[in-house]
Amino acid sequence: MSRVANKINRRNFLQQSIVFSGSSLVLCYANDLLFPPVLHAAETKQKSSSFKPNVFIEIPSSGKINLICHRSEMGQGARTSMVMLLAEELEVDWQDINIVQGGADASYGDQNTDGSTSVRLNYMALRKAGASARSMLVQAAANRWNVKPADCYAKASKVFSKTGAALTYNELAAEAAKLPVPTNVALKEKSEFQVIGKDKELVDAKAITAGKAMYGIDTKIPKMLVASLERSPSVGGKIKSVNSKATLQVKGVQKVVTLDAIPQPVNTNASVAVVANNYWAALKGREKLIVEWTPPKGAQESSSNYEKELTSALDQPGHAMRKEGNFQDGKKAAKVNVQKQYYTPYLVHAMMEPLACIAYVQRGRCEVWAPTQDPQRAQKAVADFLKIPAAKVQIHITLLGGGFGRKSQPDFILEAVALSQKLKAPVKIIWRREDEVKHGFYHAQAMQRIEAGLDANNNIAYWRHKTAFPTIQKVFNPKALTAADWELGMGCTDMPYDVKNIECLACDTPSSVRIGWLRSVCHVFHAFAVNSMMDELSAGAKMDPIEFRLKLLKRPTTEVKPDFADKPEFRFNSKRMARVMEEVRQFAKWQKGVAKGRGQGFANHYSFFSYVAMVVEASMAKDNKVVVHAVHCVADCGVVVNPDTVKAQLEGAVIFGLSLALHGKITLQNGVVVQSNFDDYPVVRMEEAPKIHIKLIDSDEIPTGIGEPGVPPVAPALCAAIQAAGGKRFTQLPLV
Amino acid sequence: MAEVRINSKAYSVDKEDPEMPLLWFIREVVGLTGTKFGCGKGLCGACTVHLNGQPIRSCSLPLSAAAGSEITTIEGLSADGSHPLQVAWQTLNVPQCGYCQPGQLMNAAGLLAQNANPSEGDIDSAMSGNICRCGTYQRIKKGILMASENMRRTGKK
Repeated sequence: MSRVANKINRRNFLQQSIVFSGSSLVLCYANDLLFPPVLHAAETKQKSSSFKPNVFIEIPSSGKINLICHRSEMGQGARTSMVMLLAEELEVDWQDINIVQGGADASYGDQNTDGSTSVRLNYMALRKAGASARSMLVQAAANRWNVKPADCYAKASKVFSKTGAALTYNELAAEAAKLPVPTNVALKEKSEFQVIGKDKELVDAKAITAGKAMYGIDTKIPKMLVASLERSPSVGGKIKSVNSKATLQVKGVQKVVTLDAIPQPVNTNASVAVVANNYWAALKGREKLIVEWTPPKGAQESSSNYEKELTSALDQPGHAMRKEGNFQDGKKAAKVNVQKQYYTPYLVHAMMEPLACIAYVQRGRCEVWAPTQDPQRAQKAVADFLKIPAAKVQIHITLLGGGFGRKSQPDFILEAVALSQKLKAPVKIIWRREDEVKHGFYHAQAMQRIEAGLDANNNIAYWRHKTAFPTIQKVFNPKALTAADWELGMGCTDMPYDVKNIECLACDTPSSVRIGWLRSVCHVFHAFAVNSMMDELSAGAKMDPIEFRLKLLKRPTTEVKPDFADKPEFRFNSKRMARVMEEVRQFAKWQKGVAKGRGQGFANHYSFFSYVAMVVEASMAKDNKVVVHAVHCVADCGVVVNPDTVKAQLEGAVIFGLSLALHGKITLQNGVVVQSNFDDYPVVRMEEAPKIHIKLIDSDEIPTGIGEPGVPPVAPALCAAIQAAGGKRFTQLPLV
Repeated sequence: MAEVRINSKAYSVDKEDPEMPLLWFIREVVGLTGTKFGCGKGLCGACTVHLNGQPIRSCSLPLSAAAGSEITTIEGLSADGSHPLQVAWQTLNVPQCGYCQPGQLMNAAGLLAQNANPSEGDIDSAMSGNICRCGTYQRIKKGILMASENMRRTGKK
């Protein structure tokens, strides 16, 4: 189930024990469905001589040690960090490891690779899995040598005795497999780490640089057909007529097939599939296809109206998601009053690998190969669609050429499944770039209005934040219109400054397109508005923007619940935020001799339980072209598993954030997306990239997210920098 | 008989549609999937290969124009991943998702073959046709500088 759908049920935490029939695994869920289960081998003997104490480790009697990665790899290093977590406690030589990509299987626990959760959710569970396996191998050796386990130790895939005897894990596998899995094992202290906390090259780097890495789009299976789909230009459109005469004459084209739309929670649109024995023929055939569409009923969105539509949405009373104090009292006490409106457009993911999927539907079963971020959601959707048990649906997770949240959606998988079912043959659908841009699950456009004021002591007297954006919940429920509390919890209701009189309101607004989650989701637009307004207030207070925020952070804040968890260790900690702010101030040499014509801008944001502070240095050239010179970023994401990967994620988030700040804009004309490719949906290229400097806080706190937290501060820090450089204060994105 | 030589091997193109972009010939007919599809319009650089030693966008070159040429793909950049750019890429942990990297490497190799000592500005100009959505530009640039220094020092090409 997707993390988003899980959140709808997140208070239904269950304690469950599930026994899989026919397998030797007993599965126990921990406190809540989001955390991976602790896995135990059954009491009964394992049939093979392989040592399989849990679903993440398999040690045969000879050959490589198999460590299973159950999370999707899209460049964030999941295949490296998950394996590092296992390897640390298992005490295995890295050279002995063979990494296996796990397919969709509930016994792995959560496999939904979004929300910056891979390390956070697996830090303890994978260490425990490695530790318990190690202790069983040590026990097996101790038994063999007739000594106490305490007189043995494990290192580099071997167990050693005090006397110097050694046995490899391969040699011990069969005996270890017969032992009971311990329920309690001690884990290493941070000071004992040999693997965690040290830079590790991404495990796929060699294959990638040799051109041997295989992504979803590269995958092939025997006898597969290839297809290109002409989809309804607007969501909910229907096929009126199809003329495939010229298409079928193209050499290589085999068939032209129509596919019906699949409703929530899959959300595909009606399409016409051109099926061929090679992709070029499918593309060429599709060019010659003549399809007439019946547009969906009801008014369709045009971006030329957006300002009017969204402003009138903001003028509605809205639904209060946070309300404390008395707004009128606050207004009375205010000496400085500011009101600003902020607009941010629809965005599309534009990951480098367009969508692609292979599906092979046979009687009573289905096999899928896809670059998916959410294999279990796909497995369930496929099972429901084909009306077969989930156990009969095999989802193979390929390498992903980028995801950013687009590949969590199962639409592209269900299209392939529906097509394979119709063709009674295996088929691969490849999306053109134009398809990806025009048939997305867009990041919601948003219009926000913040009214705020300062009292005589330069404290925030009142703060009213209204936010109007189409809700992601429409992915699951066609009638959904009001944003969920967790959507506002991404940067709006959890604003961390001391304000006695505060109101956060969600204003309903519909959308003609599918809305999805894009790297840092609602944090993108909420961080933009909140940071921009904090800068306005700091100017009103005639204070430095960092100093102004620090002053308000230091006071006790109303406890705000962050999205995704109710656990105390994940609650906002103002000291940790203050620290990254103070560190970046030094790191960036804040306001110390900035070159003429340039400006520095600051922004900070808390998201996915991590703390980020950023300084951007920019200038505006004569032709109004924005030049970004440097970005300094300090982040606290708790214990860092692979420091170089964490830095790389922040470097990448800066570029991603600059793309959306400078260029990203999807517009609609009568419900049809206007943009098509990188010419009319530009992204940042090397010539625009600034020098990026990253500093990580050395922390003992529990690891928290890092794939997304670097994105939200970029746009507001850039706008602050442009203003500091002598330009105007932009309140709309994109800038160029 | 019209043919294309790819990584020193000859392939007949007689049976193929002359309009077929070289990219799809490489990926599907020859079966080398290291060269990637990203946009189909020569905008993103993921499909970059060398044609007679020059980087070109294979998604935008029909077979009819490629016939008679020597093509080098990422698989042919080196026999064993030992090209100084590939070594630099691994030393600096350049790739994230890696999808754009074959195109980046082939384009960078083309640059270094022409300019043994590129400035940062030269690199920006040469490499801005290659998009990376993971944002690895800073490391790509460092990788090119590292490889070019290595190549100048060892006299390797």
